[in-house]
Amino acid sequence: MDTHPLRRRLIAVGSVTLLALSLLGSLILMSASTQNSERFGTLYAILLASNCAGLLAFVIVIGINVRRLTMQLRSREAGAKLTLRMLLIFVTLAITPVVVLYSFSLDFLRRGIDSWFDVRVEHALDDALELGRESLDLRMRQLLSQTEMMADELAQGSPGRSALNLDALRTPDAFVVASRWEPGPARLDAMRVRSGAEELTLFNNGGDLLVSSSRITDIVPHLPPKPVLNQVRQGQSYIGLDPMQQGDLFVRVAVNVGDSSGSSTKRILHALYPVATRVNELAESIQYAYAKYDELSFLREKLKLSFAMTLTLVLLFSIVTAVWAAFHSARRLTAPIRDLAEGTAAVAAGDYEKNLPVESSDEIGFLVRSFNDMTRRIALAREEVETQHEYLNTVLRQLSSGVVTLDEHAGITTINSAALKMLEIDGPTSSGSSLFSVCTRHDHLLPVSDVLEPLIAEHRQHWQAQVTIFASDGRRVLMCRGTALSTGQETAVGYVIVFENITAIIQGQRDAAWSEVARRLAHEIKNPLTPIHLAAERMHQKYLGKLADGEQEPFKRLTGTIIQQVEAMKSMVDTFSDYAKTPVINETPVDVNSLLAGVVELFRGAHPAARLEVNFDAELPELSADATRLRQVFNNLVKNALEASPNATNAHIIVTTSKTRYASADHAEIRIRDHGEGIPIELLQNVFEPYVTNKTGGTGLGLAIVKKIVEEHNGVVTLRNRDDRGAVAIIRLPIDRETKFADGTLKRGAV
Amino acid sequence: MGAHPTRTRHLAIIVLCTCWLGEPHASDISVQAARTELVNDMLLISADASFNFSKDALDALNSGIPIFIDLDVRITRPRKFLWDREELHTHRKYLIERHALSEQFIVSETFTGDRGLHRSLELAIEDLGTIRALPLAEAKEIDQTSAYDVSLRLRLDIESLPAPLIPIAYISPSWHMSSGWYQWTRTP
Repeated sequence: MDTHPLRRRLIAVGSVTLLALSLLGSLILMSASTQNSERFGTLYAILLASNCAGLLAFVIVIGINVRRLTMQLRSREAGAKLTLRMLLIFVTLAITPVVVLYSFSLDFLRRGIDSWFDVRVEHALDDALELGRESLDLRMRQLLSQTEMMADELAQGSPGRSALNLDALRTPDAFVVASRWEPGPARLDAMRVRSGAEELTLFNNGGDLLVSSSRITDIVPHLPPKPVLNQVRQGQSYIGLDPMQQGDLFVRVAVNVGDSSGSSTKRILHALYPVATRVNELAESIQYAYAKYDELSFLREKLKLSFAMTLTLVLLFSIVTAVWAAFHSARRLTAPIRDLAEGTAAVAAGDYEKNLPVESSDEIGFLVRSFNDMTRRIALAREEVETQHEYLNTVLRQLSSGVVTLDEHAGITTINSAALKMLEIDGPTSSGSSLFSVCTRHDHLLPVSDVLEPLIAEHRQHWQAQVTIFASDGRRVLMCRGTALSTGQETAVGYVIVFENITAIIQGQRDAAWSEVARRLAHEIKNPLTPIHLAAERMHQKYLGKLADGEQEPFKRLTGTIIQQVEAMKSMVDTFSDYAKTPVINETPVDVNSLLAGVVELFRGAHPAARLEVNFDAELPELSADATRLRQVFNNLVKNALEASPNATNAHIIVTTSKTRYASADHAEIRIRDHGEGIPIELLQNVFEPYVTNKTGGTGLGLAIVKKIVEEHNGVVTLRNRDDRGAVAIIRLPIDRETKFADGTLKRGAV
Repeated sequence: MGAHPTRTRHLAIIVLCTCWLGEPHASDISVQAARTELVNDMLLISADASFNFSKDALDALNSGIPIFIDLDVRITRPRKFLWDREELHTHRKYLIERHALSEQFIVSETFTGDRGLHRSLELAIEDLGTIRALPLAEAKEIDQTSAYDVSLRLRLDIESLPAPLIPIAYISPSWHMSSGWYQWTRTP
């Protein structure tokens, strides 16, 4: 088996599976990042983009598959419809539960998120925050009061130190400045310790640092923001809760320090008080919970959207994966069925060498193996049939009899060479063409069609019939034997017809029969005539002189009558004998026109009143024939024509010759037409048989002899009534035929 | 003959995208002035910028969502025949957030830890736009004998937003805030 398609398929399936797994992993990460932004937050955009790209890749793959299936459907490729049907089933089965699950999940998700937010919780948090503020506020008021008292205490003393420029402290050199600053006086330090402050700083009104005391001595003092200083300068003390860098809360207090000496110089006391550790922890907890709840409240809709988006991506991923898997599965399942359909079509088209690849060992694999076995057997059987057919054809070719096999509609299925030759069928005879249409195309086969058509229509099992056709070499009598072919059913599935040329046999039988008749006539009739004739003569000689004068004359007339009638009978017997015996034909080149002209002239002399017209074809070639016997034929026919006319003086005979093409061969056609009463219908069928005549004085052998002589020349003679008046005798003599001349030489064709 | 439907659809999409991209953002950052100076062998940067936060961003801030602002500084040395050589590319990050308990807004710089507390959001935003003496690098890292270009950019860091907000922030123009590169040349 070719490994390339398998490898390609493995690569394709592997790639798509890898893509699906990557996409699944990405979706899991995305889901995690939706829930925990600190962990995967930075990856969210990348994951979203990669998921969209992966889905797009899947959509492209599916699009390619859809396009391919559409093209297969349009081109009516085998298995395409089945693939579509299976695909629709798979997709429906896969998508329906997923979509139902999706809609329910989305609903639960929304409800779940909404359930996080409760008005009571919100109020509780607000209250907790307020409580925290209130509890701190009390402490803050105490600290403000305490700081104001310290300010009053400080107001008793005077500022004796030079101020430190605060702006300088806000620069990076602040550390340097701070390091040069000396610790505060012991008084401020004692006040800081006493008050529990973290840091105590004294500024002048311009914001310059005068003195500071801090629990941690090696750091720069925390400077109050400008708005704080501005507020205090306006005479309002400041107190506030400030979250420091480490997250600890401090209470910042800034108050004016009055001057007891009445100096206009004002100072500001800035103090930072730490919040109790437990209070700090609780406050931080409230702050965190409140902030988180506030954040979640704000992100409520966004969260829903985000979850819905993730869920939608999961849904889309499931759908595209299911669709692709459906495509893959449907194609894999239908592949062997498609192969089988193609294989069946190939077998139907005659390709019995079709062999399908067996790719599985399941039921479909068994089906494919059975198909391969079937095609192999069909191929073997076909070979056997072809061998038998060839053998049969060889046998048929060797047969001298013509064999034609027909289907139930008389279409030719087989025809051997002997039949083609016997029936003189020109050109190719395509298998299936009707025998009768072939006969219609060949005029000389019309008698075959006329005889066989009713026989076949009768659906007889066996039949035989004799058909006379006029072939290129003349009259041909065929014996047709037909047998209906059946396969056990009532109706025939075909016919086989065997043709045999029995022309020579019939001729021989007829000759033999008439020879026997002649022999019997000679023996039975002619022999007694001689003694009668001799007895009459003897009686005439012996008793004529002895009779009286009056009796002699009647005696003489009576014996004369006997002798005359005996002679007539002898003549008749001789004529019949002539007909009966098989003469030796002495064929010589004969000019039919001259021969006919001589005969017509003879009759014209005998019947001067009769109109004897001739119309000869000057191009008619000479025939190879026995001139004496042909003359006898023409004599008989012209004589019959004259006798057929009611009055010899009005007789009108037309004699014509022509060259005609009949049965694919050239013929000399002689027509002798009269204008008499015509032939009675009852005689027309047997008019050429001996002793068939409607004339009182005729022997009844004239037309029989004509037929006999014409047939001896391989010709055919017909006699029929004309539509207007009279009858016409038509003789067709072959021009192109092999002739054995008297000198023993053989010559073919016209002379 | 009518226009091809597919082509018409594509044209409509392009026009919509162009309109969306071309729409002036309601929210933005603009840098009014910036300068660098050398103090005690340290290169410091100061700048004045104004932030025009969108309503969404202001709502987020008021709801306790912290917003990070990225400060990108790039120092490049122009060259005659080649592209500019980048000598320094550094980032700083500012955070503006609300502290519910103290009812203040905190503006902090994550690198130095400098922070300011403000009673109102407006003051906090104003403080955010006032960058003073932010250390960038040691002076020896930059050749001070010749002129060089300094570029500054401030922009809202979408990636630092809470995860549920990120997709919307990526889509919505109200969250796309950037000053663009503000550049000046420092001569010795």
